[in-house]
Amino acid sequence: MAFYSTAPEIQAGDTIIVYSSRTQLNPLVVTPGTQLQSRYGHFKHDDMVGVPYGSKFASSNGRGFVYLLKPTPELWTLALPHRTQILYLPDIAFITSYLDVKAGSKVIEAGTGSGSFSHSIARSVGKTGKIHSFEFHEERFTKAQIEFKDHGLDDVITLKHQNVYKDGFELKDEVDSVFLDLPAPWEAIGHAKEALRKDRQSRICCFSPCIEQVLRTVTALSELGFSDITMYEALTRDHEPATTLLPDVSAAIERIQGHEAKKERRRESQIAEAQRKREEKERKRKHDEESGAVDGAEEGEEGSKSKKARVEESEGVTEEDVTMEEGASTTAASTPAPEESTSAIANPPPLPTVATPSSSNNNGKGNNSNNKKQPYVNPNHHAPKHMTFRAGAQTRGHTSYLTFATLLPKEGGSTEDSAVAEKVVEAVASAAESGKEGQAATGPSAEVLAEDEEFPMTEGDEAALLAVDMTELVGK
Amino acid sequence: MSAEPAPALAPVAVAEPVASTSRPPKSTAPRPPPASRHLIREGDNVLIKLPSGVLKAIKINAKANVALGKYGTFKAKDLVGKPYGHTYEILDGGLQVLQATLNEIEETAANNENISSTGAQKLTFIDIEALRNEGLSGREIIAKQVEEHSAFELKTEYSKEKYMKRKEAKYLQVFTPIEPTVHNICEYNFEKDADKIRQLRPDTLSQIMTMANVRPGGKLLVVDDVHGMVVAAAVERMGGEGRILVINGVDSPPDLHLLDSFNFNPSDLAPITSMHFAATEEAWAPPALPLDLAETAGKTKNTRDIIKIKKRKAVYDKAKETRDEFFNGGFDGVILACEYEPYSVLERLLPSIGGSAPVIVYSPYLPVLYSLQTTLRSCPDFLAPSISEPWLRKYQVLPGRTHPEMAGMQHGGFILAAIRVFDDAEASSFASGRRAAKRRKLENKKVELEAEGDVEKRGVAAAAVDAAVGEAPCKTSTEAETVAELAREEIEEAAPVAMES
Repeated sequence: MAFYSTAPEIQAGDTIIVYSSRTQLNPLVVTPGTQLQSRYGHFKHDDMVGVPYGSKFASSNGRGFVYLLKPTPELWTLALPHRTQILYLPDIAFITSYLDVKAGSKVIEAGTGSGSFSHSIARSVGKTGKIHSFEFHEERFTKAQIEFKDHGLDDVITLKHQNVYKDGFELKDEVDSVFLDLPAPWEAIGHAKEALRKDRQSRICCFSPCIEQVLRTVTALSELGFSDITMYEALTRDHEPATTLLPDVSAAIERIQGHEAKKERRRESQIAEAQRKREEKERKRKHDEESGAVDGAEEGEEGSKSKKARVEESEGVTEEDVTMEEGASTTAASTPAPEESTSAIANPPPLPTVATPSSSNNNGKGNNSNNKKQPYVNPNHHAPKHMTFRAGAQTRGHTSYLTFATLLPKEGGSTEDSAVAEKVVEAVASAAESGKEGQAATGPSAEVLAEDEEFPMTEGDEAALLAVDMTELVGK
Repeated sequence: MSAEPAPALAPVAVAEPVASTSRPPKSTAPRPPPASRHLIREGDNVLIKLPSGVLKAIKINAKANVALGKYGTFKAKDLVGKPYGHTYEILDGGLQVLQATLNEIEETAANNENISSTGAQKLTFIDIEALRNEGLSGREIIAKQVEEHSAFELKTEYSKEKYMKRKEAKYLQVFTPIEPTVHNICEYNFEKDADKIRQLRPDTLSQIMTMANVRPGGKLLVVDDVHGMVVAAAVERMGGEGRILVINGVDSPPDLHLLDSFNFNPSDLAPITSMHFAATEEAWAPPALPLDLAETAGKTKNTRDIIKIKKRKAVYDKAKETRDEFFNGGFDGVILACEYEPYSVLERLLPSIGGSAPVIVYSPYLPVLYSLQTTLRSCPDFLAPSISEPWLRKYQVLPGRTHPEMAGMQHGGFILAAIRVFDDAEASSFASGRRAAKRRKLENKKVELEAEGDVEKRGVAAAAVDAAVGEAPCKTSTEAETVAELAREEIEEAAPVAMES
């Protein structure tokens, strides 16, 4: 029975992670005699025993399958029951790295929350390390306590139900680093200082979602003598596979040319029509002039004839339009040069690549029925699909700002007084003004100074300047 | 893998045999007890942060001086026994600790209205050089410059502080010894020569370590072409317990010289062992050289030969042990940060990777991971391959002056993470059953139509397949992707086919 099983196969009592999809991972304690029922099917726990970790596992009723994975803190983060907002991998990884949490480290964590960070750093410090975890919310504390015990982490994590603002950590010079995920970390930084070891550099990270919290935290860290204060934002951007059409631009050119040719033909047919009308009119006029006498019956007949012809012609043009459109768009084939179609009114030129063969017979009815059968098809549908990748829609990771600082062992002492944190400028100015009492420093520079009265400094001024220098370094 | 004492730390060159990493780092004399790794010791590697922000790597030799160029020179022994992190000013008498405090700055009515951009400073470069030559300290030169600055008092308090900082970075002889942690060493190399570590940024490295579940007692396979940066990070996280099997592409021990930038204790390095890719071939055998003393005992009495054979035997045994370990498999984490085509490596390592183990591939090149992901998605041995790109931004948080750093957001590489799984050909989802039925139907239709010679209904088939895919209830999102891929293939296949729907 184990959470972090070392065996390659699943055993009864093991906690496993049931992976159903990228977004659906669930913890499961393998309990023979029971079965897991999900929309992916029924899975008998008995059948899981003896199956290698990492196996694809079929449901007993053939509805689907899942993968049976060995828990890691990372999978746990994705599978755990949320009691609070939790920390995710990018933040956890960066904090672990910056705080130099490693095998054997001793770390304070407050609050425990859902235990996502706890699991990760407990893994990282190992059996030689120690996590002191604090949670003031009783229900969360109780749940975390049971969870840590079940997961065999209770020897690495010492969990306390405690309000750290009020009661602190009850540790002195003990831990290498402190991680504060609290609404008001500044209330606990003093206690953190107490708990951090002073014989070497030790580190703190405060995790706050809002910049205003960061500012108050920074002020508190500074007042309490932490140095090297800085803040980071760690995020992760996903890259996902995607397919896109990547048509050659020549397809667009051909399509345009097709349309242009069609327009040109329509224009020409219109011109020809107009010309024909003009000629007819002219002929009629001449005829009228010549004959003088009006033969009503004849004229009427001829008129209706020409009307009919016109109708036919215009139908021809319409059909041609339709076929042209289809031809150009479905196949993007080359179209005949405009000149060829000049005489095309009565007898439209055959279009080389028409998708519907029946359209060439100029039979309106047949054409229509064909159109009905064929649904609209995206002309680019057959363009080769191009496999590519794009950044995921969401940037994951930002839950909070990470404010870091370092606590240094005391040394020197003389410049420790916070009073020395005076204004740079004042110090320099006074240094420039305050005569030449000589500099406490030693060696040749003191001699040089004695000669040069312009740069005398008192010891106090120097202390102030030293303080100032540090602000510069901190500011880096 | 050589257990022979190798020559002193050979730098970068990959082809050269480099100092074996399973040996204690070469340092002078035996070390004091390791408990105090957090204090500076004789022989330790230390990073020095200069006022300019630049990091410099030094080795503490108590008898020598450390020269920091214009930032001065100090005696290395002055740092021995000291903690990391203090900022020291170099004085004639030694080192003086500077105490850090943050200044709240008072708002004043000052503005830059009457400050001209040039000509305010009366001291010329030559004047300052002269002052330097006179032996004035940096602090004195700054005071002089402030004094000679006609518009200094017109400046805002913020501006004054910024001015002072700039001058201090230029003239003060101060430095800060920085602990060579994984984070700091990675940052140092990233800033100094990012190509050397394949643009591996510290936060990227931290994510790799976390994703790969590197921990004390873990069993890790590593292909490291970043001079040991990944191996070093793993060493630090294992604390001497576990196994780091490094596989490299040359017939000499892998180049892990960045391990020598740390102050590891010999026991920390115990998990490291290595073999080359040729040895991952089942048929590979080491050169047949006499190994058994009993066999050769009769032939030679030469002590040198005997020592040689003994050493060779030790090397052989170690190599065999490593190889056996590799073939026994069951590694619970894999990290690739190498120049090789990643799938060719994974294919080779596959039998040795334990079930459910995280497989992490780092590359500075996105397209390399793209093609790997494409391959892995259709490979039943890897679950959910996904690519991510770490993103990091640093902020200045001085009181009243909080803003992101102007520089710093640099490309830090890409990570592909997957999980090693075992396929079960029998396990199929309900949806996949339906899909198979659909595919059969399509196949039949295709045959039918081909027989009819009806090739005009191009596109209809594709549309039909799309529709079918849309309908198919997918059990998992990965499956949905598979289905989508399958459908794409089908579109191509079934292009000349029509299916009335």
